[in-house]
Amino acid sequence: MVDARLAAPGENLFLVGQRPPLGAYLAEAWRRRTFAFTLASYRLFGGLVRNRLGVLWIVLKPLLTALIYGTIFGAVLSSAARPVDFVPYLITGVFIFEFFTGCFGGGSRAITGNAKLVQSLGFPRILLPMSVVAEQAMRLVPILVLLGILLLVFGEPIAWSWLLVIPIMAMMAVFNLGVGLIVARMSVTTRDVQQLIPIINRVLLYASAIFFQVDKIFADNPVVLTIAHLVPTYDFIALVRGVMLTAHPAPTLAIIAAPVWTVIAIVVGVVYFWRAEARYGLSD
Amino acid sequence: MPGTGESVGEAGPRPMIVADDAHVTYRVYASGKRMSARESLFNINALRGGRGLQTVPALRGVSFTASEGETIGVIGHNGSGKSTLFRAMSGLIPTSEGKIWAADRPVLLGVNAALVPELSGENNIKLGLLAMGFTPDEAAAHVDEIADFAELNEFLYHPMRTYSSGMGARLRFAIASAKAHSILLIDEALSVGDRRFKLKSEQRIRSLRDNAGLVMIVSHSVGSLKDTCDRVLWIHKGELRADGDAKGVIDEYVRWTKQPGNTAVGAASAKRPARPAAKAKPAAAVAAAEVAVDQVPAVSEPARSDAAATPQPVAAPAKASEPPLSPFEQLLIDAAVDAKELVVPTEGVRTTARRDRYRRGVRERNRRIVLTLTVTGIAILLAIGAGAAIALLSGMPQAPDAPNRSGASSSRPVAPVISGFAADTATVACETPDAEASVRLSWEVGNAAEIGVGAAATQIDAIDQPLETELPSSAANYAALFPCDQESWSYTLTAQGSDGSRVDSVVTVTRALAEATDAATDPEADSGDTDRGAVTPPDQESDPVTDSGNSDASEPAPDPSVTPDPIETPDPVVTPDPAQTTTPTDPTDGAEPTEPAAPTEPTAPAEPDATPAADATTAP
Repeated sequence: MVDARLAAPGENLFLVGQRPPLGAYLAEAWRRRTFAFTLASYRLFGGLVRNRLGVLWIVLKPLLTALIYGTIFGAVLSSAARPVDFVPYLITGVFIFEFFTGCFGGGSRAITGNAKLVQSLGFPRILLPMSVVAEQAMRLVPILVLLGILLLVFGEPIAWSWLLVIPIMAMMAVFNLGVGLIVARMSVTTRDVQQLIPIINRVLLYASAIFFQVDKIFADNPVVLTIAHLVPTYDFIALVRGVMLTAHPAPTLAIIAAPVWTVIAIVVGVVYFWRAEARYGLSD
Repeated sequence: MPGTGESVGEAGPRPMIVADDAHVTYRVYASGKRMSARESLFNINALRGGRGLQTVPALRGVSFTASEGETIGVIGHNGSGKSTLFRAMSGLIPTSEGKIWAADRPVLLGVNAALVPELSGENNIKLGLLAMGFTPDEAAAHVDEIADFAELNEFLYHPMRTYSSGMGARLRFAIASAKAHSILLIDEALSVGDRRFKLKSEQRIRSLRDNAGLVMIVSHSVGSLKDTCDRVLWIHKGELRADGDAKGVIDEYVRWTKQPGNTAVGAASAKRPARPAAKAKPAAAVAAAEVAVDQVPAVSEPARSDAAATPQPVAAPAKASEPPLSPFEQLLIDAAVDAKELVVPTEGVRTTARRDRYRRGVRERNRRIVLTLTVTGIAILLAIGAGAAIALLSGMPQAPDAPNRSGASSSRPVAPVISGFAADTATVACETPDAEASVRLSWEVGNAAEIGVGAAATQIDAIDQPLETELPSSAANYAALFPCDQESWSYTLTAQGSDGSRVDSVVTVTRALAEATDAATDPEADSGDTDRGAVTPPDQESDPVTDSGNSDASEPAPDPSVTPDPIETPDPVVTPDPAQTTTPTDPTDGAEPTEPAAPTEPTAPAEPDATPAADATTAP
């Protein structure tokens, strides 16, 4: 023991199992980013090729979801808050919201679901939530193409503003990464978070104005309307609707709130995740 | 026999890894998955603490220094903490106490190092290389080399979950050894492969050791450790029990495994007493326990430590500081002491310290767990409450909104309310019984689907026998004919709501014949006429006969404040209202409303031609 203490401050020794400084950590993660993207693409296709319909499921799943919501909220439970162009309004909301739920749920399982990988290889753990977001972003590409085609079918005029979807989605990906990082760490220490995620998703689904117009419902209640406009998922959906649907310009509050949410989420997420970096190996 | 602590390598070579009193504590849920390597420790906690979060001290103060150029073997029974030590050294798990230094990031390749089971071996190679810090180009270049080394042939393209454990181990070893690491930790990786692969990998380890600094190997194959290693650590229950020359330590270990008999090895790792002394022969333990039973329950705390000390006086000082033990544990200790096997003086000190530390840790962690669970529960409840609040908020305003939006067209039926119905004058001056005069009516009706005005000698239903129907819900200056051959004439306003119910309101106007007044005061008749003209605007509130209380009970009294100025409070819903109110102000309009009305209603009593007939029928 005495020997160890004397030897410890040796010039070329460093402490094992300590988290690196944030800057170095992020630099290392950036250097190994290909790992995240490779893992994401392998996961995506590895998970899909086991199905008969394979890659088609990427498009089929949100389409079916939209169909269900469209039937339930469009035909069965029609309400006055329904917009006139209900179908384009609905599918835009559903498709964009899927991106969030995928990252949210996947982020919560990013560490716990890869416990073996975490326990056997040393790499910046932030790469795992990053690969989750990358995988969901890859899923999003065919979905957005499908969305464009569907909007054309339903009579939305094609416009250059549609291209703005790309930066909006990039911003949303960053936001999702931040949220994913937070739930990734939380579910390592408190697994119960994973049980809570479907509930949060459900709440957000109703709070994000996917099948109704929040402006109509809360028209006479400005306070609630403002709160509803501040729901982050709503903000991103509203931005996408703003650039893709002529009848639904994004509220100013959403245009301001979306980048603010993004910055908050990524900063809080990265710092919160990084602080537990050394302890993820204990996860199980 | 006793553990020699740390016998550090010669002063010359520089240290590669320094472990200083390293502790590692796992926290495991009772339903957790980490059963494999630490089953024994896990079970201890499961039995003691029941369900929930368990803390497992897997390493309890390990210290050693490993220097450049060494190959160190690590032995110990299952669950003794070998793999944990390796993980802690490679930085995959943090130490809870103490510190570990290393000259370079140690790389661990182990039997547990599953990559991504769904992916093919080839993809796993790429992923593993990228995770180890290879650039994509380097990784691509190494894939074939690794695949050749692992000799997986066509299975390389199969998902890794279909691999046998040997195939998986081969692939993992191949990946991890692709790069020349300065510190390589090999965790039972060689024990799974077949003979051919074992030789190959041993050769590879030698070559790695030659150009790398330090290789540490966990293995249960004592023979191969003797061949490859020059130094061996013996980890026992999370502590370093021996550290020294390979041959010496391995011989000790082998002797230890053999001495207590075949069953004892399993017992030592699976039984609850956290003390190697329990490896006494079962028979001896039982016998000794029977003896001890007589003493233990009866004696008090100090007396018991005396009793324990009696057979082995050397251990007495240590036992004195022992915390209270359960009778069962005490029995086992006594039994072991009696058995006088493998008990060394230092063992007692270490055991008590260990147990003490362990219990303190468990108690403290249990407190923390309870706190954590409580906070988590509260957080969950709060989140659910927030969700419910949001759901309520988004559901609430919809209800009151709906009727406004969909209006009277659908939604629930409503009964009509007549809030005012009046004529501009109570008496009408007539020149002759044959003449016709005009009465201006005003009304205010709410919730009506249909409104009709009728006129007859008595009250009628104005929708069934209308003068005119489909009138606006509010009118200020509706002109109606007054037949001068009638003594009095009743105007009925009937409103029908969307629920089908009807409400009537009647205004009766009497006649003042000009002949009667003419004889007496001729000029007054004229002035009466002019008066009437002045009165004509319905804004005057004096209406003695405004309303016969026939209207609904829901509307207790004719509201005089509503009737006078319907124009000021127009119903925003009714757009044709202004048009209606302006028409009567047109001077030529006096008779006009009746003209379209007349042809539509053949039986209308107000029709000029029909008046005598109506007279004949109604007058008598």
